[in-house]
Amino acid sequence: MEIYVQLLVNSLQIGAVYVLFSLGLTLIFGVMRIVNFAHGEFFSLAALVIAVSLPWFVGFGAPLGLAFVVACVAALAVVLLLGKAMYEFGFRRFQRDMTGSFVLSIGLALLLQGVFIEVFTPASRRLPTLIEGNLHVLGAGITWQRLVLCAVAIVVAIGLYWTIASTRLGTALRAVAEDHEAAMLQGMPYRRIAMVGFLIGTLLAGAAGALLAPVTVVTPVIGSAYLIKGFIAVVVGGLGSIPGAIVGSLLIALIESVGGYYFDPSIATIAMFVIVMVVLLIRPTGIMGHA
Amino acid sequence: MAEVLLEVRGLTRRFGGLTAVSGLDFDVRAGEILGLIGPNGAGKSTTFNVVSGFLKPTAGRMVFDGTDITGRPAHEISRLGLVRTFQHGSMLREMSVRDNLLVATISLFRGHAQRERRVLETARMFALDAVLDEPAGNLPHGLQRMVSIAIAFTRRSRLLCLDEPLTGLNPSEVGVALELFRRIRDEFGVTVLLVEHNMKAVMQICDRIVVLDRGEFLAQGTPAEISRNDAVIAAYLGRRR
Amino acid sequence: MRDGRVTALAAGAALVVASAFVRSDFVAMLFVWVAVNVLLTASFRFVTLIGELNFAIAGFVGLGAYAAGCATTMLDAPFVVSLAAGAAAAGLVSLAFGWVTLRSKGPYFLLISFAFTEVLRLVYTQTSAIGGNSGLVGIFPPAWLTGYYPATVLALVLAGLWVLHRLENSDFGRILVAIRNNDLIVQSVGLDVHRTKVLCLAVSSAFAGLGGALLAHANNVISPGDFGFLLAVFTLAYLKVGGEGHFAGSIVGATLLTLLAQYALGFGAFEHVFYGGAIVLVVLLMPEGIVGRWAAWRARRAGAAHARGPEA
Repeated sequence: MEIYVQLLVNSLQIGAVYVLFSLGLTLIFGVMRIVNFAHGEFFSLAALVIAVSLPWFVGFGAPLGLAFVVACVAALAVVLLLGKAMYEFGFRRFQRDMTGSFVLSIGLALLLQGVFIEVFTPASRRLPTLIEGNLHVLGAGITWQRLVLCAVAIVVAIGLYWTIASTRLGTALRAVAEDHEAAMLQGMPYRRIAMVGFLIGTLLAGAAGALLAPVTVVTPVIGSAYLIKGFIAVVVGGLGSIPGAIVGSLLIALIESVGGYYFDPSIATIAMFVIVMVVLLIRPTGIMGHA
Repeated sequence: MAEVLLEVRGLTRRFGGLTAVSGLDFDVRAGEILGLIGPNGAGKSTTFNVVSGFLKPTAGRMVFDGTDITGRPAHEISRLGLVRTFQHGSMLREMSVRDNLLVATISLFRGHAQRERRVLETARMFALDAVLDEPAGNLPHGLQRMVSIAIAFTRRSRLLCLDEPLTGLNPSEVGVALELFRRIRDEFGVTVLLVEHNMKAVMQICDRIVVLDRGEFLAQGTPAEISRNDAVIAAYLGRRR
Repeated sequence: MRDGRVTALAAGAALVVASAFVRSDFVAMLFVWVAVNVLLTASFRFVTLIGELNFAIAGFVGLGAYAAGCATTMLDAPFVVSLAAGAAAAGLVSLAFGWVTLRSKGPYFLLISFAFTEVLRLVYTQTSAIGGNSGLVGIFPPAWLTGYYPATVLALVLAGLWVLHRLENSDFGRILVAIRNNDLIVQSVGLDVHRTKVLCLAVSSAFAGLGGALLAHANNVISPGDFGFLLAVFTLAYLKVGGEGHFAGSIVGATLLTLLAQYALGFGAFEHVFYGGAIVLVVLLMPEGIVGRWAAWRARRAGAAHARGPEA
C-alpha cells in the first residue's frame, strides 16, 4: 500500500513540472496555432540563470531564501526577454503556419542549446538545498522542497485556469484561440493578444525551470527531455486544451514513475511513446481535443 | 417509371449526442435534377457527405446503380459513378485549372492524349479554356465555382452531386450555371443531385425536390407542389427563435 | 529540360569516375557522407510532396543500417543482399507504420514519427544481440570493392535520385502534389488517398534504409545514438537550405551543409549552433532556399528579356 502512495506522490511531483511546462505549450498553440519546439529552452535558461546567479547572490551575503527569490526574478526576466525577441524576430511572422513555425522553432531550439552549452559550459550544477527535511504523507516520503514545488505548480495552474476562464484577458485569449478572424473583426488587437499569450506560455516554462532547479541537476540540455514529455502530454491531452494538458501531464508522470519503479526508465519511456502512438491513432485530436 | 439511380433508406447519422440525420428515405431517379433543400441545420450537408462516402452512416442503407455503397470509402463510390463537389475547399488552389481537371482524369484514362482531350472538352463547356494555365486560386469567384463543378464533371459519371454550387454567384452567373446543368442532364444524360439555398434557382431548375427539416424527411414533390406545401413553408418561416 | 537532364547525367557519371581515383581516406569518406546525405534529403523531400515532414526518417535509416549490418556481420550475406535487406526492412516496416499513422496529419503525425524513432532507438539500446548501447561493429564492405566504395555509393545514390525524380514527374507524383493541395478533392475523383500516402512514405523509407545500409558499411560501426531525432533535424536543415520547392534543392543543400559542417568541425556544441543557425537564417531570410532563390532570379531575367522583345 505504501508503495502505491509513494508512487502516486512521486507522480504528482513529476507531474507538477510537466503541467506547468505543457500548459505553456498548449496555450501558445491555442492562441497562435504554432508548435514551439524551442519551448524547452526557456526552461533550461531559467534553471541555468538560477544555478549560476544563486551562488553569486549568496556570495554577497544574502540569505539563501532571499537569494533564491532574487535569482528567480532574474531568471524570469531573462526568459521574458528571450521570449519577446523570439516573438518579434521570428514567430510573429509565422502565426497560424504550423509547419513554418515548427521548422523555425527546431532551428531555434538547436541554436539556443548550442549557445547555452557554449555560454554556460556543459558542466552540471547542483543547487544547495533551500528547505531541509522530509515529511510523510500517508506513509509516503516527500522532501519539503518537492512539496513546495508541487504546491506552487498547483497554484499557478489554478491561477492560469482562472485567468483564462474569468478575466478579460482570458476571454480575449479564448476568443483569439477560437476564431481569430472573428476576434479581429470585433476590433481585438489580435496580434498583441497573441503576443501576450506567447509570453505567458514562455513564463510558465521559465517558472517550471525555476521551480525545478533546486531539486534536480541543472545542465544546458535539461529542457529537451521535458520538452518531449511536455509535447506528448499536450498532444495526448489535445493541442490547445488546458484541461487536456493537465490530464496528459499527470498521465505521463504516472507512467514515468510507475514504469521507472517496476521496470527501468528506458522501458517506461518506450511505454510512454507507444501509448502516445496508440492514443493518437484512436483519437487523433487527443483525449480532450476538439474533433 | 424512370429507373432509380440512388436509393437511400433509413439514413441516420449521429455525432456524439447530436442526431444530424434520422431515418431518411429518398430516391434519385435517373435523368432528373433533384434538389435537396431545407432550412439551416436540416442535415443536407451531412446527407451529402454520407451519400458520397466522406462520412460513414450510423445506420441505414444506400444503393447506387444496383450496388450497395453503404459505408464504402469516398474514392470507391466515386469510381462507381457518384461524384460530388465541395462548397468550401473546392479545388486544388495552387495548381493550374488544367491540372485540376487532369487529376480527375487519372483514374479514367492511361493515355495522355485521351486525358488532354477530356480536359479540353470539359474546359470548353465551362468556358474555362481561356484560363487553363492560371492557378485556380487566382480566378474570380464565379470561375472558381465553374472549376469545382468542372472537376467533378470531367469524370462524366452517372450521378453528379453538387454542394451549393451557386453560392456567391451573381444573377447572370447563376443563369449560366443553370443552363449548364440543363445541358449536363439533356446532352450527357447525367443525373444531378443539388443541395442549394438559392430558392429561385432551385424552383427553376429542379425536376423534383426533397425537403429536409431538423434531420428528417419533410416533403417531396415537384417545385410547384413544394412551393404550395404548408409544412415546408412553416419550416422555413416560423420556427424556434 | 532535356539538356538539363543530360547535363546532370554527365556530371553524375563524371563524379562517379572521379571518386574512384581518390587517394585520401578522408576525402573518400566525405564523398560517401555527402552522397548519403543527398539521398536522405531527397527521400525526406519526397514525403513533403504530400505535405508531411517525415521525422520518422531517422528511424528508417537506423532500421536499414541495423538490418544491413546484421546481414553482413551475422549472416555473412553478400553485400548486395545486405543493402537490399536494409532497404526492404525499412520499406516494409514503413508500410505498416504508414498504414496506421498516416490517418493523422501535421503536428500529430510529427509526434508519432518522433515517438517511433525514439522507440526504435530505445529498443536498439536494450537489445544486447545487436550490441545494445555500444552498437554493432565490424560492418565492412566486401574486399573486391576496396578503393571503389565511394564510387559504388555515388552510383547507387545517383540511381536512387533518378528513381525519385522519375516518380515525382509521373502520375504518382502529380497525385501526391494534388493530395498536398486538397486530399478531399483527390478522393472525390476516385483516387485512394490513404494508400497513395502510404506508398509515398514506403518509397521514401526504402531509400532512407538504403542510405542507412550504405552508411553502416562506410562507418563500419553503428550505434543507437546515430539514428535519433538529430539526424532528422539535420536532414531538414539540408532541405531547407537547398530549397524544398525543387528537386535539386536536396542535392545543393545536403552537399553544401555537409561540406561546411566538416570545415567547422570539432567544436562540440558548435554543431548545434551551426545547424540550428542555418535553419533559423534560411527560414527567416530565404525560405525558398538557395535553389528557390536562384530559380526566381532566372525567372525574373527571363521575364525581363521577354519584355524587351524577341531581338533582345
